[in-house]
Amino acid sequence: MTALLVATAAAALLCLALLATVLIVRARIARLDSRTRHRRSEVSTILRTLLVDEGIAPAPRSPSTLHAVASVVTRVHGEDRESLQRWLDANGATALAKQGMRDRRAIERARAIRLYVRTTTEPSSILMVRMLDDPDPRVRGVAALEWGSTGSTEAIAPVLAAACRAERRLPPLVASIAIMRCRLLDVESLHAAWSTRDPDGLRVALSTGSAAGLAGVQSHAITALTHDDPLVRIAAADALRRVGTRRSLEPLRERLTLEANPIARRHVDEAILALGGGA
Amino acid sequence: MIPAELAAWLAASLVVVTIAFGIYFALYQLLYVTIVIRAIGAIADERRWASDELLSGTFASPLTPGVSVLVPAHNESAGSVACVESLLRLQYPQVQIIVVDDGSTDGTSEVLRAAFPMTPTDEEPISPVPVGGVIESIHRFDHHDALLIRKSSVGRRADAVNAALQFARHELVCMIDGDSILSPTALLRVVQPFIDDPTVVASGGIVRPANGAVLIEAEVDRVEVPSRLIERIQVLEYLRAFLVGRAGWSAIKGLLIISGAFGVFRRDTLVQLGGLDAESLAEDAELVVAAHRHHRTEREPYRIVFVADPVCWTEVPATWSAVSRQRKRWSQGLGELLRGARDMMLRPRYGALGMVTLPYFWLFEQWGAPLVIVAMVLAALSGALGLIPWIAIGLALVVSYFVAVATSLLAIAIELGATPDYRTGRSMRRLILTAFLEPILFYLPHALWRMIGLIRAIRSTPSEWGVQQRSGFVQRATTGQAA
Repeated sequence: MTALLVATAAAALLCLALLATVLIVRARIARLDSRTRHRRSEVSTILRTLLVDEGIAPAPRSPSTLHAVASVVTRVHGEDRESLQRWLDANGATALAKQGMRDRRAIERARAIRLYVRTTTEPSSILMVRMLDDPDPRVRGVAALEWGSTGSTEAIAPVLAAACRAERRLPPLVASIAIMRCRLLDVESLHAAWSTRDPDGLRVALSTGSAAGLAGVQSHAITALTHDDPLVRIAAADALRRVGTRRSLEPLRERLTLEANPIARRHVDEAILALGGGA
Repeated sequence: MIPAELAAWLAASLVVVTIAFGIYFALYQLLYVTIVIRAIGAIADERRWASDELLSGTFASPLTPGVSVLVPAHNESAGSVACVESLLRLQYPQVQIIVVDDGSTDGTSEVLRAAFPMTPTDEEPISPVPVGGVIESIHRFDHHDALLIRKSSVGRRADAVNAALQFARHELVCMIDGDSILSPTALLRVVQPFIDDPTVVASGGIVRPANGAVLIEAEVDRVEVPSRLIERIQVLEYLRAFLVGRAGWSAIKGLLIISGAFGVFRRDTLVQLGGLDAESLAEDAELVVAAHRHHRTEREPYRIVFVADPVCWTEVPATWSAVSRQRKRWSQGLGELLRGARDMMLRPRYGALGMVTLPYFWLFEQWGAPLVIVAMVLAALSGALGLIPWIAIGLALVVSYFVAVATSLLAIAIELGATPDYRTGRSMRRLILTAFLEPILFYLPHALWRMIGLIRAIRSTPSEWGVQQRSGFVQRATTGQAA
């Protein structure tokens, strides 16, 4: 009986504690909301001073303010961007980011990458390649996307190489998003995919190269039509639909007669139609 | 009065039974707490890593896999138009919508044809998947990449899904119910795991009751915990099952169920498995088990994940009788599922699913209801025979009541921290009040329904589509006019 009484009291206390937890969580959320509002007003003041008044903005109250200002950098260009980057650098953002990139916690490394890329005008390739090799796949993804967001052509080859390698790979879609953000001007930037013939790498190269309108992708796409992986064949057909010429019609028709995968057949068919080979 | 010897024997037996129930109860709580802890970690992690930039990048990438959304509908005239409108507004680059009217008698096809211009077509199936019902007509939407297929019903949702699967042409397929509303970014979010990890074969999102939700142009604008008790109870259940339960099971790599109301699968995996099992009542769970079995047998790396962020709103039954029918069906489905998966139970080769999830569902979800009823009958008998003092029985009931309330309060706390949906004062008050009322009003009838479902599963009673009275969503035009 005593045990039951103790259990009843313990269960009732647990309920009360959880009820209190619900109320505490609610109060905490309200406090966080209010803190966010304060930070937003602090960031607004800094942005107004730097971008509108062109004066000297106050120092940040906390590192979170640096991250908040850094998130605005990607949305502005030219002098405004430089002005924000100068302020960030002057207030220790670069040093903080470099230190954060060595943090044990993956989320902190990811935040640090964002801060670093947004603070510097030209991120160091050595540093970014190292982050593309991070043990945590999410950190690698953030590194690729952030590097890509700078629009730098330099990022293309390392990002694609990271998608083609055997270990610590970058998911193909993340690589494609990153490359799409860069200035893809030359089909040779996608060399890693053509040389390794890695299926994921080829899909990335065919999709991004054709989406960028690079005519040089055509010959690689024709070769890829015979690849073992149906996803690569689909990407090749889509690439030819985008950048192919009538030269591609013959290999596409040949593929159509051999293709067993119904989805790939449909894509090949669509490419033939788009290139005017329907009749 | 009973003889002394018999009384002694009964007393000894009751001690043994009480200890057994105590161990059962403690084991259940221990496992549940473990799952909750893992769920909290997983949800917190997911929120920390959420990135809108990745979503916009995914939207813009030419490599983002297309998704065919399969919508089986049976007598869904009240909600099907809102459902299709929400799908047409999805923020996703390539979406093919396939609605299957599975022998509806309430004019579901006619309502859809009146709402969206479409023309008959003689579309050929792309993938060979066995379908029981006969396809009567196929219409292609004039202005969208969408099909409406009308077929005769064989009484199973799975058959309607398979009919749609035949025509799916994208790499991924998403299954939703004909009365569900997806939030605009839901598909982008639920597809993220496929992007992050090529070994992901299935991904499920969170499903929430939408009863009483206000829609503006097929998008949920405002949501409150409904006023009817039975609907509120289901809100709590969904919080416990989806937010806490599935996030926890996913975190230990033992996810058994991806809801048929909102799940994404690789099309090739589905076709390879021959589509959904049209004989099963728990076809969604059956599919997940089949995927586990297939990949484990083939020794292929794979992951089946749950994402606690993307939301699918669905209408839950609003009457006790409808809930009763639904729960009997669910329980029967679970019974059939576990019978089919008994060869995987306690087999290390099936990983966490075989060693933890399936035994847990067998022991606590399937047999939990009958055991609760047996325990209550035994307690009442013992009290009546004077073997256990009534006060002790009462205290034991109070303990289990408080533990049940605590479980719900924990789910509410996690929900508050994870999403902004039910943060208004009124919603909070309603949820907390329901947490205290539910064990008193719902647990016993629920246990009885589950037991009936289990008996039906044991007797292999045939069953069909669940009949549910739909009231549809509250649509509000942008001008503020209620429709």
